[in-house]
Amino acid sequence: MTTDVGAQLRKGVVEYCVLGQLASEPTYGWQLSEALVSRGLIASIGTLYPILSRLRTQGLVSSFDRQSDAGPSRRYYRVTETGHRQLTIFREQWGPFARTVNELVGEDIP
Amino acid sequence: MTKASTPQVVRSYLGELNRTLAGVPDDVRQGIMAGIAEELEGLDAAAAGSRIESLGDPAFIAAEARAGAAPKMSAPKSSAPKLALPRASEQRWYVIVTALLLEFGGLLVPLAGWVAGIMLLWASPLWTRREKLAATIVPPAVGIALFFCFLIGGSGVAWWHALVLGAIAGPALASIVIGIILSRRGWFRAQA
Repeated sequence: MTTDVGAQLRKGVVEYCVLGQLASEPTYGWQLSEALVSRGLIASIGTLYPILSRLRTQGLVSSFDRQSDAGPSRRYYRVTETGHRQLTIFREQWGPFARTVNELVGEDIP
Repeated sequence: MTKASTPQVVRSYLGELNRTLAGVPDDVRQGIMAGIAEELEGLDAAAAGSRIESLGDPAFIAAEARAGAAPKMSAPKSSAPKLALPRASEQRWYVIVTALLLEFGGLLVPLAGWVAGIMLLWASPLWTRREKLAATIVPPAVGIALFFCFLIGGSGVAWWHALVLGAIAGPALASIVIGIILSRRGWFRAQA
């Protein structure tokens, strides 16, 4: 119980947050990293790539190169069909799970 | 990866990052290097310096990558991966079999068929505990309730026949309704 609570929580959901972010639109690594770092879900871009590697190994995410008009060619990541199904399952379970935790933990009453 | 026109600050940063990533699995290392290099490509020294500042120390990035990749490099332990491959009890054919047993199992093999459906239901993570409890409790409860309703309501041989029939038909009907509801929910949660 003395461990970092935030780190434990992030560890459990960060892969699904990556899937969720990629499900809204294909995204390149830096952009994805910025979105997650700004929300405090990962510490740096160094945290992101092991996650992407695992998701690709499991067939939940795939990558492709896209040439931009002005900037460089970038590697984009997108969610596969399997990834979408996995995300759907998570979405269905997350709501009831979060409600249960809220019921059990309650709010901090000053 | 770096061109002659690449600012020195970018070349230095990428070189240091590459060194500090030693020991990190190749796919992760290449992903980080490519992801950062493509972001810094084409920027002048000032813009690249600003991006590099927001990126942070290469040693910190490497430490994060090493920590994140560690579970994959070590031997599998008892803790299951977060995104494991689906088990049989998480697939759609399992939903169909379970639903059929719940709906008609008790008619084909009295009691045992329905019990088999309930056991399959409880063995699967596709349904919530509340759904499982409802499927287990409601049909017998309907049967018991109908039995006592008829018992209070009258007497005679014909009445007893109606009582027994109601006590059987009630749970069967409840099981069919519950089976339909749970099969729809399970279907959408299951792996194709």
